Amino acid sequence: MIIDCHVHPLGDWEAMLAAANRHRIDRLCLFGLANAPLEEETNGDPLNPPPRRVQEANDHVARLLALHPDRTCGFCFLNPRDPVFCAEEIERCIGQGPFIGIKLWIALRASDPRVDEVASVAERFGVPILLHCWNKTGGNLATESTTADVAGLASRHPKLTLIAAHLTGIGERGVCELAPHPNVLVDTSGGDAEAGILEYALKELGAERILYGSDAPIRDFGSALARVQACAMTEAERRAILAGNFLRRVLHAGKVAHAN
Amino acid sequence: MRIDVNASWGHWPFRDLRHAQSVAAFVEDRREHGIGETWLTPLEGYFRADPLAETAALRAIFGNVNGVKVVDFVNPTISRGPRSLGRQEEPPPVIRLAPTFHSYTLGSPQAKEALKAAGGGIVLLTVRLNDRRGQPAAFAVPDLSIEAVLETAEAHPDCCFVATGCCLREVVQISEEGGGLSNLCADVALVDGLDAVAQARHRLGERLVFGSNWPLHYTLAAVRKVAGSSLDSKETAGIFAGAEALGKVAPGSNGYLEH
Repeated sequence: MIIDCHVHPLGDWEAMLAAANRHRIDRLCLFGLANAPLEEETNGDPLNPPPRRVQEANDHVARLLALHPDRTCGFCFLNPRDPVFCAEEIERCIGQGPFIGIKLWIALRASDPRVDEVASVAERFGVPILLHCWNKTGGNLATESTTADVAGLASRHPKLTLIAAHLTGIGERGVCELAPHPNVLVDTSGGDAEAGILEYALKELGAERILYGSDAPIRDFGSALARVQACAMTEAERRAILAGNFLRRVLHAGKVAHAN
Repeated sequence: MRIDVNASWGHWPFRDLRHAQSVAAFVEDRREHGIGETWLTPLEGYFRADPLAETAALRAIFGNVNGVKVVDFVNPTISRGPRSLGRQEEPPPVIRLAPTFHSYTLGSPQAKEALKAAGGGIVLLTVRLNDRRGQPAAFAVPDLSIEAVLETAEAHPDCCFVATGCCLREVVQISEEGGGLSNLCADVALVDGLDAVAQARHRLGERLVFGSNWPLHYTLAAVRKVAGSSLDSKETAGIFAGAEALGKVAPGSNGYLEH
């Protein structure tokens, strides 16, 4: 079984599903992006989509979840700059809706206190937060989390499961910074299919803290899957990364959240 | 036959590449992915001044390995590069230039001299080896601009150029701004995005060839991007064997694999 934990349903959905079929991916975890919000809606800041755009992105995913309940699951997309709206949207999408986790937009670093407010709500619902994370040579965007930011958030919310997206982007340094925080998982997406980094993460984090993710359509399912399939590991570890960890740490938590 | 035009060999000090520590491992990787021929560049050539010396060392290792063609990696700012090319009776069939790694421009007199010496052959141009955002700070190298690649291909119509490490956006740029340049190709190694190889093929046709960027990237990633694309089997076979046609593209080529 293969579950892709990091998919943006942008563009031609049927083409995306066809591509997932070609690569034998069983389930896609979807989250929207508030792409290209109008300038007047964001006061000139494209990283700050307004609530209406966030809701549209979540509504789009909700429609796909209803169309393909056996092939998809979804995370609620949020702009953390407005924690009050975030709490309402979490209630709408997770409390009342089918979503099983949260995806934070790169509108704030994980070190910002407003992210703590959203994290507290996620903790209450018992669902994970996936957040973009990178350690860029030359420096990150002002609101783009580094692994140090995520490590801080993890230490302040030790019962919350965090998924630091983009293993290739965080590199060896990022793996080292996240290693002491067992509540942080990493996904295998980000950048090109560079060899060596997943091998390093396996050694330092263990397979149980790694999820397969592609970041499609920004990346191809094939090149993303190849990272897991080409990396030297046991078959049990590969099964855990491709699906087992997601089933255990995310889907199960989502079911518990909905049952409660 | 699958031909990989963009693979390297050697020590890479910035990451532990355990899958590439022996010739046997290389041979097994090629066998596993059905690659019958590999054009191999010395990795050390990227961060040492005289890559041609590294080429000689690589040739000593792989001289007797079937299916391996060692690429002459030239730094035109080192006199040994163009001069040694000029000393040969025939131009070497395949050379690699990496201007951003060796700090020269393709329009420089030295680069022009090297390209003249390579006339009629195939020239691999390193656009990038890896994502700049993840490069080690002490070895951050700018990407080669596609504008420079286009200008060079236009100025040297007797050579066949393969831009290695292009992303999809750059492939689109090549097709839009260099559509008439039949002597300019690109490899798939860093073309990524949902079904991006199919988009690249539709743009470049037979000028899109297979390259893996092994061992920095997984060979399987390049294979799966092609084999798992929405292209039909004839088109995917055309990419995998695309390098076979390169000798025909380069009008003066004497057969690019005759070393």
